[in-house]
Amino acid sequence: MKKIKNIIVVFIVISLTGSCSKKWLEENPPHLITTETLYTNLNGFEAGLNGLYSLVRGEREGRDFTTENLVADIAMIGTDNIVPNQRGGFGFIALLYNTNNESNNSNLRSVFLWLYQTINAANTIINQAENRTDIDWESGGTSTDANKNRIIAEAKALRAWAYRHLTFCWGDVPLNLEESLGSNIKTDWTRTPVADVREVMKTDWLFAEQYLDAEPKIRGKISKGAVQHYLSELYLTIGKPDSALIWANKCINTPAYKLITERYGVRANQPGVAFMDMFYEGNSNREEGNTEALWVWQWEYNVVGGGADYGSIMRRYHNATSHHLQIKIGDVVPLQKTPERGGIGIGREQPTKWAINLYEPQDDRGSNYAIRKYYILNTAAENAPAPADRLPNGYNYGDTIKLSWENDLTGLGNNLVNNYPFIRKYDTYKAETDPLRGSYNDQTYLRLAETYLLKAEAQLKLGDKPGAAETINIVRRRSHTSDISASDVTLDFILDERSRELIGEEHRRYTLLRTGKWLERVQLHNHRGGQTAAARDTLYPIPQIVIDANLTKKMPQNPGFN
Amino acid sequence: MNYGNALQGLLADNIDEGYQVVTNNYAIVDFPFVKGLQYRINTGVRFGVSNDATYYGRNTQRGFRDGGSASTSRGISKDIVIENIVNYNRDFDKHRVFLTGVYSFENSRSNTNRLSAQGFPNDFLKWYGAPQAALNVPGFSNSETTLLSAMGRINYSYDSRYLLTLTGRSDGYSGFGEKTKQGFFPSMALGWNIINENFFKWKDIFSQLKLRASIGRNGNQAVSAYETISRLASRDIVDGTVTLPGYIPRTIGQNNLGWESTKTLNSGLDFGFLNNRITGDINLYKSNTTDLLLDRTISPVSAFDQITQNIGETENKGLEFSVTSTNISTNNFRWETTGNIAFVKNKIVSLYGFKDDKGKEIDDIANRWFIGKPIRVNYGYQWIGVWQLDEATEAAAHKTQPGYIKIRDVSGPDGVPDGILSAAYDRIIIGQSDPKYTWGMNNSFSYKNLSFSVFMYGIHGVTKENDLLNDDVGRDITQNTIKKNWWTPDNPTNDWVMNRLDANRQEGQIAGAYENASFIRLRDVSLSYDFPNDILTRLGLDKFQIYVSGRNLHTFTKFGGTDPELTGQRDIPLQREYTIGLNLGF
Repeated sequence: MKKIKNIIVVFIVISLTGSCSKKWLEENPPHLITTETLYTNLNGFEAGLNGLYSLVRGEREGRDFTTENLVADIAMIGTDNIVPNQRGGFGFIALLYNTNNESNNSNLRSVFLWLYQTINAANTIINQAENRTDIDWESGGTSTDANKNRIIAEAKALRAWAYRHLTFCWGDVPLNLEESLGSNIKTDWTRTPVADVREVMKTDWLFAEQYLDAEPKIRGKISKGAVQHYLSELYLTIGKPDSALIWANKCINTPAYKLITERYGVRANQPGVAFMDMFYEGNSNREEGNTEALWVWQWEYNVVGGGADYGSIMRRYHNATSHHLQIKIGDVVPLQKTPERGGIGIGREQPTKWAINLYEPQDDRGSNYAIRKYYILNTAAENAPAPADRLPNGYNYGDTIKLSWENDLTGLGNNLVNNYPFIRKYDTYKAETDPLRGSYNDQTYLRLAETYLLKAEAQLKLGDKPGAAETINIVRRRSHTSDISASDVTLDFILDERSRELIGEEHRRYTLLRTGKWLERVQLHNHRGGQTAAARDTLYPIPQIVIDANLTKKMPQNPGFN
Repeated sequence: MNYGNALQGLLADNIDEGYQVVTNNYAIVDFPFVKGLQYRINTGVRFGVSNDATYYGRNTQRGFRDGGSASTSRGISKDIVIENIVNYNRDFDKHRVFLTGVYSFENSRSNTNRLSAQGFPNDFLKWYGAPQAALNVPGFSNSETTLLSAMGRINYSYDSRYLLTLTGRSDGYSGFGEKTKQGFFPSMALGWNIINENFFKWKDIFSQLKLRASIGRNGNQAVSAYETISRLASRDIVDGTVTLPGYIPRTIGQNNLGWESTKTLNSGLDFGFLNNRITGDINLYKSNTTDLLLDRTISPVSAFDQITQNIGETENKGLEFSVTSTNISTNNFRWETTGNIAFVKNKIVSLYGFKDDKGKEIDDIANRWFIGKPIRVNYGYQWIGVWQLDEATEAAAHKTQPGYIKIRDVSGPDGVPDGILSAAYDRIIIGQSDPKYTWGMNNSFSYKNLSFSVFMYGIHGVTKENDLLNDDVGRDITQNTIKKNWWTPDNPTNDWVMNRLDANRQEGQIAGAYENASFIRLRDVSLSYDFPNDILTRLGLDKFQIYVSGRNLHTFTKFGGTDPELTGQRDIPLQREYTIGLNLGF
C-alpha cells in the first residue's frame, strides 16, 4: 500500500515538473523598459526627449557623472581668451598640445562616446516616431500632427547640436542616423566629409525650426530662436553670409527676444550691472524675466533629475575663490569664505591677460561684477554669517585687496597663480550649495547677444560695414561702453567683441576655427600652452578605440597624429 | 570626497544582515516490479533575505556635505532545484549496466528594494528619518533565471576490463534568445583496464593500469539574465523644481544569444606501481570552444561600449601529469609526495570570419583578440629603456630627449622602422596573461605521532603589467608612490625615467611596464603532533592534536609589483599567516 502511495506521489511530482514547459524559459522582466514598450504614445516620447535633454546637459557637467573633466572645455579652454591655471581635465591637452593631444586621451574618447550616445538617443526617437504606425499621439490641446512634428523637431534639433560638436572637434565624422540595435553592429564606418554632415545638420535644423516654440512651455527645452541662431552660425561656417543674415534677423526680430538693458530680478536693488543680472540664480529663466535667453539649462539641488550629487561644474572650473582664500599679506590671510563671494571654485581655467585688458574702463562686462578683480575687506556684519575678514597690518575695513594680472598666466608646468582674476558668470550665492563641487543654478546656455554678433559677422562678410557697426553698438551700448564706427569693423574686432561679451560662454574654439583664426590668435595671446600648438591641433585626433574597432575598413586618423 | 577623514566610515551607523534558510530533501522509490530500477527526487530550496542600512551623519565629511546621507536596501532571493533521477542497475554474467535519466529544473530569483536619501533635518532618526529628507531616491532591481535540463547516461562494463559511458544532455537556459535557448551536448568515454587482462604479464610491477579516451561536447551559459534584451535606463531632467522622468538607450542586446559549446578530445592513462606505492595519471587533451560568450568592445559610433555576443572559436591543447608516491614507509616513518604539473597552450582560431583581401582573417585589435595567438594577451607600445645622454641626436629625431622613455619603433608603412611612433605599426603583443604551465607539490612526513607537510605551487609564463610603477601625477601626488631608480644625468639607468611630468611619454604615447609574473610560492607548511592513545583514553577524547602552520610563507618571483597573482596591484595582497591550533574530538 505504502509502495503504491509512493508511486502515486512520485508520478504527480514528475508530471508537475514535466509540465514545467518552455514557458519557464521565457524572460518577462517587469522592471525593464524597451523601445517597443515606451514609444507607444506621446508620454513615452516626452520621456525619451527628457532623457535626451539630460544627456545634452552633460556638456556643462563633469565627465561620467563626476565632478572633474568638464566636458564644455573641449570647446572653451586653450584658446586666445581662456587658459588653464590649476591644471585638470582638458587643461592637460591645452597645456601641452604637442604631447597630450593624442588618440589615447581618455577625455577625448569619453566626449566622443557621449556625443554618439546623444545622437543615438535622438535617432531612436526619430526612427520610432517616423516609422511606427501604432503610436497614440493624442494629447489635450494640440493636434496629433503637431505633437508628432514637435517631438521629431526637438530630437532633430538636438541631433544636429551634437553633430555640431563632432564636426568642429574632429572634422570628418561617421554619420549615424539609425538607432543602434544588436543586429546592426558595424565594423566599417566611414568618416563622412564635414560638408555632408553639415548638410544633414542644416536639414535637421530647417525642419526643427518650423515646429518649435519661440518660448518653450517647459524650461530647459530648445527654442525656435536657438535653432535660428544655430542656422545662422552654420551658414557662416559654410560660407553663405546672406542666409546667415536672414536667420540671424529672424531670431533678433522675434518680439519675445530682447536684450536685457535694465536691472531686473532678485538682486535688482543690490549694486551690480544689468549685464550680469541674468547670471544670478533666480534670474536666468525667461519666466524669471530674462528676455535675452534663447535656451536655459536646468539643474536643481536635491531634486531627482536635478543633477544628483555632481551638478554642473562650470563654477568649480571658472571660479577661483579657493585660491584667493589663501592670499597672504604679511602673516595674515585676510579673506573669509562667504556666500557673497560667489561660492567655491578651484580655478582650473581663467582668462588670459589679453582678454582682461580688452575692456574700456567703463565697460560693465569688465567690471568687478563680471570679472573678479578685487575684494573689499568686510566687517562681521557685512560678512554674516561668516566672521569678519582678518585685517593685515595697516589695513582697515573697507580697504581693497587687489588681484593682479600684471603677469599673464604662463609656463607649461603645474604652476598655480593664486591671486589672478576669474570670470564670475557661474558664481552662486546660496549657503547651501556654495561649498559643494557641483552647482545647481539654472544657466543661460544661449542668448540673443551672440546672435547680434553673428549678424554683424554676416554683415561684414556681405560688405555692409556700417550695418555691422550699428549691430555691434547695440550690444556695446547695453554694457555702457563707447560706440564704434564703420571703419573699426574687422573680423578681428568682431572676435575681440565676442570675447568681451561671451567669454566663458561661447564655444570659443569653434568660433576661431570657423573663422580660420585659431592658430594665429592662440600663438599670439595664449602663453600657457599656446606655444605648443601647431596646425594639426585645429582638429582633435580620432580616439584610437574608434579606429581599432573599425575592423573591416581602415579608418584614417586626422593628419599629424600618430 | 578624497580629502575627508579616511576613517569616517567608523562613525557611520550601519546594519548589515543576511539570513538564509536552506533545505535539501530527497525521496527514493524502489520499483517493486522491476529489479534494479529506482526513482529518486532531489529538491533543494534556498531562501535568503538581506537587510542593509547605512547612515553618515553630520559628524562625517560626507554627512556634513549632504546634510546626512542614508542608503538602505532589502533583498530577497529564492533558489529552487528539483531533480528527477531514474536509475537502472543490472549485473548479468560479466556485463554490468547502469542507466540513468535525469530531468532537472533550476530557478533563481532575486529582487531588491533600495533607497538613497540625503538632506535630513537632523541626525537623530538616522535612516528612519528619510520621510523628512529633502531628497529620496528609491531603486529596484530584479533578476530571474531558469535552467531546464534533460540527461541520459549509459554506463556499461564487461568483465571489469572494457568500460563504456555514453551521455547525452539537452539544456535550455532562459537568458538566451527566443530561438536559441536549447543546446545539445553528447559525449562518449571508453576505458580499458589493462591490468585486468589475462595477457598482461606485469601484474607484479603494476597495481593499476587503465587507458582512457573520451570525446564530448559540453556547454556554458555564462551570461546573466536579460542580456538579449536591448533596453532603456532612466535619465531624468528638471523643469524648475519639477522632476521630468526620462529614458535613454542604455544596453544593447543580442537577440540570438546562445550556448557556448566546447568539444573536447581527451586521452589518458591511470597507473599504479608496486602495490599502489606509486600512483598517478597522465592526460592529453585538445578542446575547441565555439560561440564563446564574450563582452565585445564595439565602436563608440554605435553609442555603446560593449555587447555580449557568441563569438568565434578557440583551441586549447594541454598535457597534465600527476603522481602520488609513498617514498618511504616504515613502522615509524612515512614520506609521501603528491605532485602535478599541467601545460596548456591556447589560441584563437577564428573570430567573425571577416577576411582581408589576401584571404587572411582579420584580428580584432579593439578587443586585443589576435588570430593564432592566446586568448588573453597584452598589447601596446613596448618600453625598451630610457634615452641616454649619448643618444641625444637620435632622441631629438624622435621628438624627445635624454631622460625620457624609449619606446620601440617596431615598423613602418614600408615594413621597416620609420622613426615615427604610430598606432598602426608600433603596437605589439607583449606576452600572455594566462599561464603556460602550472604545477603543485605536497610533501608530507610523519614520524610516530609527529607530522610535517609542505605544499608549494608555481605558475609560469604569465606577463603582467606592474602598474604600481605608474604615478597619478595628474594631481600633486597625494598618494604613496613606490621608490624608483630615477634617471638623472649622473645616474644613467634604464630602470625608470627622469622625474619630470611627461618623461613617461614619447610622441604623446605611453608604454606599460610589463614584467614576467611567473612565481613559485611556499603556500602551506604545517607541523602537528597527535597525543598517543593512552593519553586519549585517560582524557576521554577521541582526538587530541596540536599544530602550528604557516601560509604564504614565501614567494619566489622576479615580478616587482605587490603580488604576481593579483590582477590589480593596488588590491589587498595575500597575507602571510601563522596559526597555532588545537584539534579536539569527543
